[in-house]
Amino acid sequence: MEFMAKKACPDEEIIAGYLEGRLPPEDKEELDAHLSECELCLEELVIAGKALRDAAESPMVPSSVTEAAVRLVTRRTAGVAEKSLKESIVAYAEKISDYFRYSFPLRWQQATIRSSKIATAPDLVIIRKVFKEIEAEIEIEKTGEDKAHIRVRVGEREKNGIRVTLKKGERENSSQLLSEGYALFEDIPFGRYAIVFSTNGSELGSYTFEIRESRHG
Amino acid sequence: MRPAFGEDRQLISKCLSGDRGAWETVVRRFSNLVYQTVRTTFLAKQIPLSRQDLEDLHNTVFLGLFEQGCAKLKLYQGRNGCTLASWIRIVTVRIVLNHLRKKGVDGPLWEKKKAPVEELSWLRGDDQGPLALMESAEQEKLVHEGMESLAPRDRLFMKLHVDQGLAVEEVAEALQISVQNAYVVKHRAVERLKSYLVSRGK
Repeated sequence: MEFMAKKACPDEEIIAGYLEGRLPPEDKEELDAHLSECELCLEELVIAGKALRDAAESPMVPSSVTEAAVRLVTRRTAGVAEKSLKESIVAYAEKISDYFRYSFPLRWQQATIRSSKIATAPDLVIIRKVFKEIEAEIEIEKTGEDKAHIRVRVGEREKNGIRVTLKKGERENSSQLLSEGYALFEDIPFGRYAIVFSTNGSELGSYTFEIRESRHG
Repeated sequence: MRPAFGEDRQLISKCLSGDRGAWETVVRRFSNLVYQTVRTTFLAKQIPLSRQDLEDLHNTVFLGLFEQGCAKLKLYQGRNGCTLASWIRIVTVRIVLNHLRKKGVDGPLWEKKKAPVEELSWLRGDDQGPLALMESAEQEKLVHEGMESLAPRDRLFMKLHVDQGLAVEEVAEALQISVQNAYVVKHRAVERLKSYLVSRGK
């Protein structure tokens, strides 16, 4: 049996089958071997058997308890179903890497992002990104040949305790704890980067982008 | 037997398709079983039980069955003709035991009931049996070492009979064997245990 091969505890159906005397002999033998070594499963079996034997003499469930459970299940699972769907959509949207390429002068070449972009000047791009209650603003300003400053700001109420890390591939380029509400990465060479927002070691979200010079044509 | 199993499968199918009426049917049909099982589990563990605990865990079981798209309920397959009632009973026991472990009030069921070795007179034999000259703690250690050396079936029997303190008839019921067979298993296990103790005593 699969569960015995892995020496894992059997699922509830196996224990129930044993209790009902429905397991084939070879499966029962294997379960005996497991039960002789696993006190948790043996305890389950003994207690379930006792519950079965004592059922006729145990107090009946009050109808109020049953009715309350019906209401709870109907109400809770309806709400949870809707909430779960919504949460799934939001989580999915947040997990999508916002990848875009832009070039100087400003020209958006590819964007599948869920944020708003404001281009204020040919050499400056500002992106607003919202995820997990963090509202961030990322400014990318060309400062020289193949270089740019990257400024990252977060909303007033969120700025404390947020760490902003600039990564190139898997390598961490620079990391700053936000003070005064912003982080500045200076003279960053053009290329593909990710800005990772985190707090207390937990990642809140990330934003991936590529900076390159445009080739008109 | 079979018609009940077929009904179980139909009910599950309806639940999985999102039929709220079917969910309500499941709760009403098994509310008593869950309630009694929660109660029995607490009593078996000799843990004080409040009405609030009972109701909360009763509700927790049903919520656990239906949440996340009936993920738990989907696991029921009815293999070997296992009834939904039996499955829910085991699910309930597991949920309650896990709850007690998380609260830190759990301990193996039979540690509280372990039969003292002095009561195992049938291991002593008529005169100077293998345990007679040993200290109590050493005796207990040796007996349980001996139990570990037994075949799985015999070891299981002894764990329930000696450690758990179940009567032979109760062990028979737990292991789904006849009482007559249980006495045969006991005799075999005792003889093997005696042989082990004698061999260790030399």
